[in-house]
Amino acid sequence: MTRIAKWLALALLLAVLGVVTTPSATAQAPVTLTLYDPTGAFEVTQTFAPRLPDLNGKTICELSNDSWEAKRTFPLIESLLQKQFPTIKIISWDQFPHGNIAETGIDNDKAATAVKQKGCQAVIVGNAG
Amino acid sequence: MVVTRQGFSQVVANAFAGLGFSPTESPTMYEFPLNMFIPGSDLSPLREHFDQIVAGLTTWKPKITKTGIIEPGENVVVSGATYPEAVDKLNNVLAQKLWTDGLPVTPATAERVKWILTGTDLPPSQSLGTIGPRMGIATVQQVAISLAMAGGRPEYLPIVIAVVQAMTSTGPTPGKTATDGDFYTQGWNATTQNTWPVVIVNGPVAKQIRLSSGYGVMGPDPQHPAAAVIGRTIRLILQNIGGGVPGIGSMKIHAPAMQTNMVLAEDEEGLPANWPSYSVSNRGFKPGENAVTCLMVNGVNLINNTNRDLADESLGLVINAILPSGKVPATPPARADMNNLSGLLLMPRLFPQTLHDVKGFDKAALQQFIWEKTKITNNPKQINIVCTGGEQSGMAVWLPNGMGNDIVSKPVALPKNWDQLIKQAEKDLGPLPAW
Repeated sequence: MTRIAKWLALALLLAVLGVVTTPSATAQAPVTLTLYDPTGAFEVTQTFAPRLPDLNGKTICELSNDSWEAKRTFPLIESLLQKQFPTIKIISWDQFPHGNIAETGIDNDKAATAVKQKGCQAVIVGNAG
Repeated sequence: MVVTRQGFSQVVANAFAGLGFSPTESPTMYEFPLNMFIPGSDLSPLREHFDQIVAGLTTWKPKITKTGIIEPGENVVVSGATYPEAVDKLNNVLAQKLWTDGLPVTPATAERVKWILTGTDLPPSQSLGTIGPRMGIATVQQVAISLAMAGGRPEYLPIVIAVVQAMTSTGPTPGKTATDGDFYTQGWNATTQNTWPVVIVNGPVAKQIRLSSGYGVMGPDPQHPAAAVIGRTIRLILQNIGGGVPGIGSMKIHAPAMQTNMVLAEDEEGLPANWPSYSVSNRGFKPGENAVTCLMVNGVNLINNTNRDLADESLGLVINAILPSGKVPATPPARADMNNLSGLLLMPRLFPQTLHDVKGFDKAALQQFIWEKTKITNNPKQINIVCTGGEQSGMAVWLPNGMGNDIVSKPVALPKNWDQLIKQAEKDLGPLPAW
């Protein structure tokens, strides 16, 4: 038996005994996948207004879509605000365009104009959703 | 300061995003328990949490204080010992980020997205519009990412781009032309209503990309994969760019067909004589022009047993499906323009052929007949009829209109390398199917 044949025989024996593995069974290089974020950019054109340090003496307005018991929750909010801030001025939701009707509802430029005209310093919107 | 119901915080954030605020930061908000909706309910939760309303008006501080573009996040990187393991990990990560539709997606790697982008001559950074309610910017690149995730191919991209152009259209209402309506995506993508988009493709592009107009149209089909993939892409765009995650940004109570929406081609080869295609009769395009039309529906009314030689009976079934109450309104709707939503009638080729052969109807005659019996539109021309569904005549479908503003159509722009893309598709997928 030549030297090469001896080595081949030894390799075969070790492979059978599981001491040596074949190349295909050796550990593979890890696979790395890099994916794009699918959500995309967006543009912020407006930021939230600064808060009011104290509600006493301020004009707080209400806007309503007339849904989800808003006609019960707003009066409660009004009474609680009035109790905690005695000099607060509240302009109720029915003084503004309200509801979901396209021409006359809350989602309308007329509502925004009315908020400005009435001197609102903060607005509570409800009951959204 | 916003008062809303439990679970609607992201809906409110999205609504503010529609006004230009950051969708990543909600306005100050008090979410009251859902059962407070019941008339006469206990309002004590509002009383107990009144301090939240006061805090929202006085001490709350926004995190985002500057205007400008906010770019998408970092790329997602995952590793695995093998490719399947890496893909599994990837899908787990994407599911946790709420970026899948519940099924595994194809990795949107740079290489795959670059391949998809060979389907357009537009630059990747070009904005196609914003998708509501989140108002994410749908660039060509972002749309290609969604198409890659859905398992798409470059030859689908021109259709997806045209669909996004239609869905981001906020033109005047009522629209003056077929291409400038208000599709109102920020509304129907967020609503509780069960409404979903239908995409109708006219022109030779439909057959070239293997979009079905035959058996099983709108359903899964290995010979015609385009509908499922394009529809899924639209879904991913609406969810990821538009923010329409169920129960978070989209409050649809039931959402049938939203997995892949409804994407279909008109069976233009099956149209009878004097029967123009939908894009010609209703949308103002020329014969042979490639166009997509998007409209919103909210249901599928099967019209069963519309068999050949039973033309009158079949028409009766159609009318029953369109107007189940049988009560024809005394006054038809006021809106007279062609973009008015008014439902969609789908009929396989032998049905209109029968009406043509037996009753001598052309398309205008059928529109007139339906209009006189239902008055669901202002005028007969507004009745939407598309021939699709294969060679038979036994069934038709009426899709009632869903929440939305307008029907919007867009032309399909093919890239310069179109012939190469179609040849490559034939190599990859085999010859075009017979039908």
